[in-house]
Amino acid sequence: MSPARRLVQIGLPKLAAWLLLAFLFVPILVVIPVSLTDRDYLSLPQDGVSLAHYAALLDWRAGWLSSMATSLAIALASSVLATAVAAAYAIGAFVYVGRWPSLLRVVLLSPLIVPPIIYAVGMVKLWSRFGLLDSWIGVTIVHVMLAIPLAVLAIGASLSNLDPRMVQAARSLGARPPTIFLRVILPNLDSGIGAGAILAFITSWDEITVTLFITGRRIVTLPRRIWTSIADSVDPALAAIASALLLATLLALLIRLFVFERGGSLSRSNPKIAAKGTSS
Amino acid sequence: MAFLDIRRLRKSYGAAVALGGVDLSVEEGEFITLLGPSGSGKTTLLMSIAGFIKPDEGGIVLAGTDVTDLEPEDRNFGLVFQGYALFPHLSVRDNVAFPLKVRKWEKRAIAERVEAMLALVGLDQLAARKPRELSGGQQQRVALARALAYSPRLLLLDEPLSALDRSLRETMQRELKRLHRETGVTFIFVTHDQEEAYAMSDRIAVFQNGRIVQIGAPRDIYRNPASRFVAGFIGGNNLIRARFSPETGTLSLLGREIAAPQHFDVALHHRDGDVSAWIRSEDIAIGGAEAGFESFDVTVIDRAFIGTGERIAVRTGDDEELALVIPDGAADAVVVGAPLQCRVRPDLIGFLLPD
Repeated sequence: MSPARRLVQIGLPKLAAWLLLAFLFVPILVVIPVSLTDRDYLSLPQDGVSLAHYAALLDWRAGWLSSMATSLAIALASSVLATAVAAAYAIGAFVYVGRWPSLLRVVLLSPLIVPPIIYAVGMVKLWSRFGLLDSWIGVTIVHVMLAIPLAVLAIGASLSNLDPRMVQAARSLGARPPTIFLRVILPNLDSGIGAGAILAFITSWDEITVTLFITGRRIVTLPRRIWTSIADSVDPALAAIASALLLATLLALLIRLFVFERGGSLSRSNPKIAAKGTSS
Repeated sequence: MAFLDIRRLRKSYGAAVALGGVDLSVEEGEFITLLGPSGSGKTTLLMSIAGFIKPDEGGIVLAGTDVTDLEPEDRNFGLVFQGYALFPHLSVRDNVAFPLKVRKWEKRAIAERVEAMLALVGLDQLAARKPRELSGGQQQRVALARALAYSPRLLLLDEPLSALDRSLRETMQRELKRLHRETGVTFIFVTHDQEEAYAMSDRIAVFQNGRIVQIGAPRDIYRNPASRFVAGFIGGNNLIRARFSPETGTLSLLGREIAAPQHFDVALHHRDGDVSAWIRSEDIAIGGAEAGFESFDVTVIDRAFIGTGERIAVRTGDDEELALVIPDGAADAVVVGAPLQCRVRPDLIGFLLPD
């Protein structure tokens, strides 16, 4: 292959790929130097680097820590509840084929279709009638509803890899519904349920639109505090919290890469070796 | 009364009739095959026996007990699928132990039985493997061991070999016959492959449009197909048109006019003169007339090497297409497009009522 052709066929696509990655990453990485600024407004460091804004995050009186705790609690509760509901629906729909599962699916997935702002206006009316505005329960219920679609999609995807006749096989072997649920279906869904739980957690963790409408002074989630902070002032603590979240995400990804993927790829590569040796 | 009695079983899905009143009696320890094209009702019958399909009418009686309304988990039958439906998260050992744990056997009894079953299917070395680490044939053996572990009264097999390649299929056919012999369990086997049915079954039930149209030993079905459909479906047969002339007592077929053979039943087969006839591919030979043979002229339209010999397609004078199978080497004089003379013994021609 001539050098010119080589450049066009391999070099250019490579360059395009790197540019795309840069396009995705550079704006995110900008927050890190900004978080280290020595000024008390959003700017790049000028006379030196400072960790003052990180220190401010850890000051309980600034409210960042309590907001993180609030968001964490609501996200954990929403994640558990949404995953349970989604798993119950997905497994039910997997076992009982018919018209009801697909109708119910539209209802469960509707938060994906309805614009959040419209949803928010509706929830304000509803929660004011039930006295659930600015309450833990009110926020958690809304977050569960918003998280269910993603959990349903994640769990449904891992169920679609299962042979539906496994249920018939289990019944013919004498297993009753509780056994089939606990010992046949659930053990095969661990990755789907894990993915669903993480997606549900993230949905709740960064939900802002509906939360803004249905909370006030009592419940201040982290996104809400960030929002307020942007509206009030341009505190570099914002950049600090963004950097902290970025680092936490990066850390989680690295842990996943080194702990789980390594274990997973080992058990996945084994069968190939094994099958070669024993295929009859 | 037979071991398994199926009486007037009916099942419809809207206007589509899946089972149109099926009667079937199976003896204990028998290997019976339900043979038919897809959509003929054979799998519907198997799933009704397994309990996954509730029939609209009719009943299933096993050893004197009506099981028609029993749930599948209460029937104590083994079931083996085409896709094996093994539990992917369990090892081979735990897959086989599953039905025993469900039945709350003692731990030691489970371990012993699992060892025995894995030895029976030749997988004792692979007990710790996961299903995805096994080949298709090995997975099939696990499915069989799992379905036979609790000594079921019946083993139901739904096209279990159709996902395997040809050589493995023949190995598994022998394996299934051996398991049938050694366990003594009654096997009900569903397939659309007539060779598979011939190779393994004590009896074959041929399905067409939700009904059993013929039931009998493989040889009887091959030699005496009861209808045009059966003669066509069981393979190896040429179906041709013939015409009977009562005045002369002769049949016109293959472009010839020949005396009706002795087994031609005028009263049964003769309707307006039109008759259906079949000739097996291996009963047609190349060459001119000999004593006891009738010869006829054909044009060769194709020849194909099939390993054990050659399959030759010809067109007769009355525009019928025939396939004949001849030993390799005997076809040297056969040229595509050229005329050829063939012969057949009239007493090997079969006659049928039109469907």
